[in-house]
Amino acid sequence: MEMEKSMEMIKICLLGLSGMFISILFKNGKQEYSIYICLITGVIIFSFAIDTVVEIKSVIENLGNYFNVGNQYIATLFKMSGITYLAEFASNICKDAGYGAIAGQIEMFGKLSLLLLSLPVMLALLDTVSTFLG
Amino acid sequence: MSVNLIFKIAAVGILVSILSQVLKHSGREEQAFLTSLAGLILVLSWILPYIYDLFETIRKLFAL
Repeated sequence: MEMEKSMEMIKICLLGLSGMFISILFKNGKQEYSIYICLITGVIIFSFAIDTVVEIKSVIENLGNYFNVGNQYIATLFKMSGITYLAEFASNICKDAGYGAIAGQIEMFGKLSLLLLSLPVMLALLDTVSTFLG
Repeated sequence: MSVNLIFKIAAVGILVSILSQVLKHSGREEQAFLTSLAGLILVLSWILPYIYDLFETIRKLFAL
């Protein structure tokens, strides 16, 4: 398992570097093609990472069943990591293209939705604390 | 999810830039702009399904 994982890691690095070299080719000529290639390389690399994420998700769910922690908290955790990943991917693409303002807006929206998602968890924590204090 | 998509996009990019240079030097500015626009839309039509698949998988994976 480790050998195959390291081979895959090398493949990913080579793929990323080749995508970067090709997109540099269009850096001074046609700007939009360099952004296209950078975007599609990111998408392809993430498609390799999907099965790892599925494995991690199943392991975490098994862990949750052991400690019978509230399952909705684990679902919220996954939702948060999904939102973070999407917002970061989009904002990094915008930063690469040189449009920091749009990237900032995307990140701000991501932070606000994360805050919204974490509110119920915080309320539940306050409830448990207040029950302890009596 | 094929890697040769990157090379296809690169090929279209090189072709369009060469074509627009030739058209520019031969004095036909608007055709040059039209060819680069056509190349852009072609690459966009290739890329959109992949981006849609990515967002769909993320939506299903993280139960967004």
